[in-house]
Amino acid sequence: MQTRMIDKQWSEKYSAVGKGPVSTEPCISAEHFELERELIFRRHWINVGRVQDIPEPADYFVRELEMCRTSILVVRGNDNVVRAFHNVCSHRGNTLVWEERGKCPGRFGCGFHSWAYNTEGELAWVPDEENFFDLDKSKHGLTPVHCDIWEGFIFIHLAAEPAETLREFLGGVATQLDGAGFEKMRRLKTYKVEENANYKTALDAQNELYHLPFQHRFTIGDSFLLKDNKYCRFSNVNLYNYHSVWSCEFNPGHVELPTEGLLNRMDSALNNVRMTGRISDFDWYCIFPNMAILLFAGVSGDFFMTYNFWPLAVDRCIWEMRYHFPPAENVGQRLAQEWTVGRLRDTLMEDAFMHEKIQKGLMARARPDMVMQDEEITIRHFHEVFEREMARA
Amino acid sequence: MTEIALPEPFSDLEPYLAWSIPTERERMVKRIATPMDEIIDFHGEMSKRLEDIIVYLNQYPYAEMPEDARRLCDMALSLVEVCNLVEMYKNPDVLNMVDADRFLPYE
Repeated sequence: MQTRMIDKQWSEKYSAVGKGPVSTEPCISAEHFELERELIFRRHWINVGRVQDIPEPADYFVRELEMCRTSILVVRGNDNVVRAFHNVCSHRGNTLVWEERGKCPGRFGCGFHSWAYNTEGELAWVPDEENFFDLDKSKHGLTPVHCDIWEGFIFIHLAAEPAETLREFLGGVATQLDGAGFEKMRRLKTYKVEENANYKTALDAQNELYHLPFQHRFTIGDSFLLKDNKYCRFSNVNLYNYHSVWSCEFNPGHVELPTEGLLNRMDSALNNVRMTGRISDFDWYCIFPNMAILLFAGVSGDFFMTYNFWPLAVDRCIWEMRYHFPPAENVGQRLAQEWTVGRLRDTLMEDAFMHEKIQKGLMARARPDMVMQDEEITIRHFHEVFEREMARA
Repeated sequence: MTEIALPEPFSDLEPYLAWSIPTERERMVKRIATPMDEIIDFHGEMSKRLEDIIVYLNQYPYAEMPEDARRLCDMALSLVEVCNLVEMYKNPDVLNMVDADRFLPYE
């Protein structure tokens, strides 16, 4: 899709989205944050990982959801089905699994009294079982959590009965990216940074390119196509019921740096893995309420990233970044991938620094709202969806 | 027999063995702790050999290299860590980044 360097094109395409100021309150109010625990995080699908995190039967990981004051055990059963459970023993509520990830050695045993569960979550063994009163083991398996998978992304839903399926929730995103080829990629790297910022402050700061030629002026160089050589413009914006995507083009006149150029030449690109469903060179999907999926056209193959913003408190979150590339076929290709990761990582380290500066500024309550231009429409949309969902109470 | 640190064709790079660092986290720490002129020196010497290094290392799978090749590969990864600092940012002081000890890589 070709970039049209014109002003105010997205508000024309999506005229229902507001143009006025956006309240800072959701990013700084402790009361607001308390309400979000239930209204946002227990009522929507939340991505917790990918199927490649647990490729084999009995593989598991634990996802701490501080926001919901729970810990979720995601396990691939010996029957090869991926399930999610509250990571809580059915006996007296002890936290069952303490490791972040691993392979279940036959059964998950509780450290308190050794109650043991199989990989399908069934209660398999109770020590001194005869001394209990009519204990029905079949009713004391691990408490399941709704779990569904789209294109390898594992989502959970904490409501007793989700109001909509994962597919319905993803809506146009799923339509755009069905069969995109995520499974061709392998996770090369994960970064985590604990930030003194509201998770929405952090997410918003990533959800635009207006800041690119300014905040990242030393680290981005000439990589992106700019209007009048100064300002970023999206080549496309799509807004969905909950989610959004903006896209942009890389600068075709980009001059490679020496090492970058050499690595690109040496990356023999044997596999040249491409994804389908891409809109432009760089597509940035905001997945409500705390995730982003980023698709990139690489020199010798496409790659994708995910962000998950894990709220800890009104002014604290963990930003988790994952990079996925085609499996490198040789050292040259791996080094080229490492260069790409490192280059982006430096800009993300600048972003993480800035998130805290923004949060501090917002919390000063110098102004009650934020002003946004046309290229910030996806942030505006996110906040509108957020308020809509909060009002559903 | 003396232990050979780097593959024979690259023995001239042995003065830079301190840059043979196995993890990204440690490479980030080294980059931050090293004065710019030392980084420029390492970058200059390594860059000249990078093409040969890649050709040499491509004979091995990334995950299964002999020790001397692994050391060389870790030096190449250090070059990847510092190259943009030299070739683009020029001056580390222009970067406003979160501290590296908070931005944790998991490989």
